[in-house]
Parts: sequence; C-alpha cells; structure tokens
Amino acid sequence: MNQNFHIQHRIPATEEAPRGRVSRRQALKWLGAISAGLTLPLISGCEKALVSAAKIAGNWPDLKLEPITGKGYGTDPNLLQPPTRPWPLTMTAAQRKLVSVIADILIPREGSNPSASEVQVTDVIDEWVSAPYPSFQADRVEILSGLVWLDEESTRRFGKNFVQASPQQQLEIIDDIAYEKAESDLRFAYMARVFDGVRTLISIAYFSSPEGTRDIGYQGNKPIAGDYPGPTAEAKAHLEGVLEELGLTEYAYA
Amino acid sequence: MSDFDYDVVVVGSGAGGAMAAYTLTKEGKKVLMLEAGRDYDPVKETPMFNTPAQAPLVGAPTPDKDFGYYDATVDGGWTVPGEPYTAGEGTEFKWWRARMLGGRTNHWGRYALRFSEHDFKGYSRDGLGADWPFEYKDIAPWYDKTEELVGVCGTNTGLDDMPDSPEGVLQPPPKPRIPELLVAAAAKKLGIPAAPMHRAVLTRPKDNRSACFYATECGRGCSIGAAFQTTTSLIPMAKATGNLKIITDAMAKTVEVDEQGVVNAITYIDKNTAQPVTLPAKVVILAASACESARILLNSKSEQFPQGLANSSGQVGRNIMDSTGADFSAEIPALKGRPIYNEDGHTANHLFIPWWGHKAQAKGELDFARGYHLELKTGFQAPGSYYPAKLQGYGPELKKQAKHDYGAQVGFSLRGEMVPNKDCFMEIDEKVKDKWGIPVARFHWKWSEQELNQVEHGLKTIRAILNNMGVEVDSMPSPEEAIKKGGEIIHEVGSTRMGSSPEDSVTNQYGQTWDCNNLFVMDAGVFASNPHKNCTLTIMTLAMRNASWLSEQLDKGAI
Repeated sequence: MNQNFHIQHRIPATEEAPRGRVSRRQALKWLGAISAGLTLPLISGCEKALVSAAKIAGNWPDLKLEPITGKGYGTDPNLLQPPTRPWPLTMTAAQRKLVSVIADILIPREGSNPSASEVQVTDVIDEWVSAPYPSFQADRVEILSGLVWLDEESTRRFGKNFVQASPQQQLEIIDDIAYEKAESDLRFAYMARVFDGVRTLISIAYFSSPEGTRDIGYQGNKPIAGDYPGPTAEAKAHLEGVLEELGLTEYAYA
Repeated sequence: MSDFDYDVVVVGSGAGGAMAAYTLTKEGKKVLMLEAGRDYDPVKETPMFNTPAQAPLVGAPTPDKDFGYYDATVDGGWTVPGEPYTAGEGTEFKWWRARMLGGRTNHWGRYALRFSEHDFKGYSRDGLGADWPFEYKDIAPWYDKTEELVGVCGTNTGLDDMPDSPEGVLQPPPKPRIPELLVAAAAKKLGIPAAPMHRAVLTRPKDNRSACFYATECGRGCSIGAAFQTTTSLIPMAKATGNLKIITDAMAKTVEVDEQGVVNAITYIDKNTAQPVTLPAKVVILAASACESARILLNSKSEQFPQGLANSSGQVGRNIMDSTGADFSAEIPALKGRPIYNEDGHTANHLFIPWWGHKAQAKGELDFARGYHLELKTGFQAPGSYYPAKLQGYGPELKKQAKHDYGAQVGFSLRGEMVPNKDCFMEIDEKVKDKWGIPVARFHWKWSEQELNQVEHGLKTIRAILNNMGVEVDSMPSPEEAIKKGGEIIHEVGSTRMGSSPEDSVTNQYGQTWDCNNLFVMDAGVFASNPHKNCTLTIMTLAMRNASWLSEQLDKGAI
C-alpha cells in the first residue's frame, strides 16, 4: 500500500525522542506515514496557538492561493500505462529552479549515484503541487509558501534570493531548519515542519526512481521461480545477534 | 435473454455471487448474473511489476484511487461517482465499493482464516449478539472444499483460534521474514504465539492458475491467478460450463413479487442507457455485498411487504458489524542497518499473531468479550511505498540515515471482533437518490465499550511486544483516537443476518429468506456475528454450501 503522505497531516514534533524511544507524537506521525487511509487527529487548540505563534515569529508568508480544481486521472485510469502527464504542471521556472537547488542540497550526486534533480524529482514536486485534489492543494500552499520563505529569508540575511546566494550562505539557512533543534526555535519551527515534508517527498521521489531504487538496495519486484527463498544466511546471522542482544534467543520462532 | 432460460438470477460477482454461480452452474443450473460494474479481466489489466515511480504522484492515494494508483478497484473506493450514501447526524461510516466484475475480490487482502466453533457460538458463551444457526462441524466439510477450490497457503497450527484443515488441503506457506521472526520472538516472551498466516494465494499451481512468483502487491490484482479473485477462477470456470450468462453495468434496484408475495422478477438499471429493465426470475440470490443487498431489500417495498422485502423481522439493515481496527508502528533500532534481501514474499503477512486470549476471556480476566488478531507490516518495501520515518539534515548524511533505517519499521494492525449493537445500522435515506434514481443507504455508527476495551488491550499488547524488541513507547493513543471508523476495515457484515427463528433473523441457515422461499442472500449480510478473522473465506464457504442446498431443493422441486 502506498503512503498517505501530506504535509498538512504532519504535526510538528516538539518532544525530543532519543533512539529507541517513541514519543506519542512520533508514533502518530509514523502511523500516518505508513498506513494509507488514516486521518490523524486534528491539531489541538494548544498546538494551534503554537503554530500561529511560530508563523508570526518566522515571518511565514502564508500564501493565499486559489486551489487548482481541474480533472484528476479519474476512477478507472489505465494502470498498465499510467499517464505521464495527468494534469498540467503549474510551477514557474523560478520555483522549479529553487526546488531543484533544494533537492540537490538534500541529495547531491555521490559517485555514480545521481543527484535528486538529475532523476527529475522537480517534476514529481511540480506534479504533486499541481494535482487537482484537495489534500494536494493543501500541500501546494505549504510548499509554495516555503519557497517564498526561503527567498525572503535569504533576502533578509544576504540581500538576494536563495538561488543567488552562495552555497555557504544557502547552507547557513538550511542548517537552521533541517534539524530537530529548529522545532524548539519559534523563528524556524514552522519552516522546519514544511522543510521536513519536502525532504520526505524528495526522498521518496529519489529512492523510487530506478537509480535511487538501486542506490537504496531494494531487491524485490523480481519474479521468483519455485518457493520464496526467505532470508539469506547473512540476514539470519544478523537476526541471531539481534535476538541475543535483546535476550530473545530462547524465544526464537521455530 | 429470450435465448437463455435461466433458473437463478445472481446479483453480484464477488466472493458470494461468483461462488454461488460456480456451484449452481457445476450442478447444471442456468445462472444469469447481474454485475453493477464493468467487465474486468485481471489477465489484461493488472499492472504487474509497474513501479510506484511510473504512476502519478508516486502512486500515492487520491480521492480517485483511495488505496493508491495501482489498487485494482475500478470506479469505487470510499466514494462511487454519482452513487452517494449518507450518515445519521453525528455518526460516520465508510463504505468501500467496487464497480467491476469480481467486485472487491480483485483487491482483497486474501487473508483466509476459518471461523471456529468458538466463533459460531459467542452468544451461548457471553450472551452478546447472536449464535449462528449451525455448528462448526456442519460447516467444516464446506471449508475443506472451499479451501481446496480457492487455494489457501498456511499450516495447521493446533492453536485454539485456528481450526485445522484436513491433511493436503493447505498449500505450503512461504518462509517468514526477518522482522516477522523478531516480532514472533518478542511476542513469545509474553506467551503469545505467532503463526503462518492463511492466505488465498497459491504457492503451488492449480487449474489454470500459476503459483505466486513473489512480486507485485496482491491489491493490484494478479494476472497469473496466484492471488485468488473470482475473475481468474470461479467466473471463468462457471462460464466454461456454458450455464452462466453475465450482464455487466447492471445496477440491481428492486426485487419484485407477485400477488402471493412470491419473488417473480428483478429490476435493474442498465447503466449504458440509464433505463430500468425488469427480468422475470424464478429464484433470486442477492450477493451484492452486505449493505448493497440490504439496500435492495429495503427498496423493494410492495403491498405485501411494506417495510421492504424479507423484512418481517425488522432486522434488514440492523446488526451491521465491521472489524475493529487500530494501527501502530515504530522504528526498531535493532533492525537498522540489517542485511538487505528480497522481502516481497507474497506481499503480505507470512507470520501474524492469532487471538491467544481464549482462556483469559473464559476466566473473566478481560473486560471485553471477543478476540482480535495482530497483522504485521514489515520489510524492505519498494521505495515509494516505503519512506524513512524521521529524517534529519541533508546531503550524504541524510542518505546514509535513510539507507540505514530502511527496513526497520514494524507496523501492527489490530483486527478484532465487534459485538453488534443497536446504534450500528443502515436504513434508506428517502431524501437522497443516486444518479440511477435509487434511494441511497443512510448509516449510523457507534463503537461500544466492548470494542474500545478490546482496542485498549491490543495497544497495550503492541507496546509490550515493542518493549521486548528494544523500543520504549512513552505513551499510546487512547482507544477512541486509535480505533478506525466504522466500515474502514471493509469487513461490514450482518445486515441480513441468518438465524434459527424468523422473529429475529432475515434468513435461515441456508441464506433462504424466511419471508420468500425463492429469495436468498449469499453475501456477508447473513453473518450472525463477525469473528475477527476476515470474512471472505466464510462468505465463499457459505455460498458454496447454500448454493448446493438450493440446487438440491430445485432438483426436488421444493422451490
């Protein structure tokens, strides 16, 4: 099943969660992430107040956009040959440029592995924000506001748009919004949340491309003749170590 | 249809309708099948091996395709264009429909667990809901035949919750995957056994169907016929007898009766012309799905049956039950950075956790009456379906983290038995008609303490299992937050329940309505209770048994 990923469903995490611990918020978030069809509880009154405070402190642009309401791909689309351009893309050249710069900051080229923009993640983002469905249109407001915020923040700090800033200046801004610490700084909390969503979306787009799928090492989607072989010897040996470490060896499934 | 002298009209081509048609046509009866959706052929239409990246929005769910782009469902999901349903004030119910040959069998999860004597006799045990009007031993031979025909992989576990199949009926299950083995050990430490899931997926070839090749999610449908759906099995087999005719795009509206109150015709809307068509009928089997069949009955009002057909008990549309559902997932640090291999398998649970609490329940140690099981969502899933839970930073460190965390998420899905209650029912909303002019269903829903207490127990159990896996969960959602909406698990049953008496049930144990002996219901509407084990195998088993009984009655001239 595919993810039900939408930025407006993501609740800002304000609790520190060390490795191996799951906070309530994170659990809710992950739940939304991997199970389709789940509607997260609405942001509570207290969180609402926090969100508006963060928007003010962070100079959040809060774009008012007319939602795109064209036709979707319909309830009986061709599954074997999906449409390559199901609806018109709507981002401007400047917005696309900014997205590709962000994409390559997130996932730069490494050796033979391409950067995110090289595998057309910009098109995926454009398709996403241009999709004529309400939840995607809600994401569009967040994402395009985030792009404006980056330019405005860059202008405040360096007197020029984000893409015109030097790589070092760009990272200065990204460093303020790309880590958990941003969630407890009202100036960056809201943008950090949007950036987190964009980062996840760009990661999905990259890793699901043929090159990214090879990069992450996914071994499936290949027909197997005969029985499913199960875990490799290496994987089983690793599990044995895990069971031992967790004191579960005597409970191993047989 | 003048050239085809049919004995029986079957409404619906899903689990119940197709099995009824298969059984009757094999017995030499001529069957006319009405399907509300379009013709559909999984051999030609299933996107085998397509990647999420090839689909719009990386395959993500949209209002057009609620379970993602590649889900097999045609013209359906939580909404069907032009065919609304409503809900009573302050209540919510979700109704999944498919408008296609084969109905929801084209995308179902293929979990195929037998109900047990324990399941059939809940009322005798705890006084809640209703007993089924037969014993497990009456139905067991029909489970055997159904499993044999459908093809189910799994093993005999000897566990309380899983009745054995005869030797040789079940096909071998696939080997468990690493995260499932970890969950199994963590649960075992709590005294909770895991077991191979039973799934209607072939691991050995059968008839014209191939064995699973362990790729492509079953929810897309299966072009090779390994994952059971009626469109690659029962329907072509029934057609091959020469005794089956199918009319697609035929939306059943009402069942008609003569002056004596005997069923004599069925009216459907031809969706191509939007015109009603009335066909004579000697016997009608409704298998349009629990709520659609109840809707047809409630809309079939006549002088003889002013409150709807087969509704002298007033039970049509009552007693609706879904499964309870709650999901919780976490990242397991111990699974991070583990060696990657192909974990697609048959794309769903190889292991699961069956209900283990029979004894505790019998001793009165639990504050809920009925059981649940836990399904697991694990593995190195196809990127696009999977994404990293909690990323930090950017650049090479980001990618390193995403790769390290790959395959470390474990999700638990509770699926439990609901007890019927007076607040969960459907009726006809006289104010709203669908685009075909048919009055729509209005649903009412409220979970009771039974379900909330059960979900709370499930969440505690999940937390304890996670704890044994090295994950401390600070706090869990409340059951009210965690429980899914009514209908959301898509196991809605009970709207035309069977029973031992015309006073409090709609049909007898053969799905024959008490009020009209030539009118049958063969979908999940007849369920007297809704055990947690997923309804489809039992829908098919009952349809096979009851269509066989109908065939005998026809031979005897009793109907």
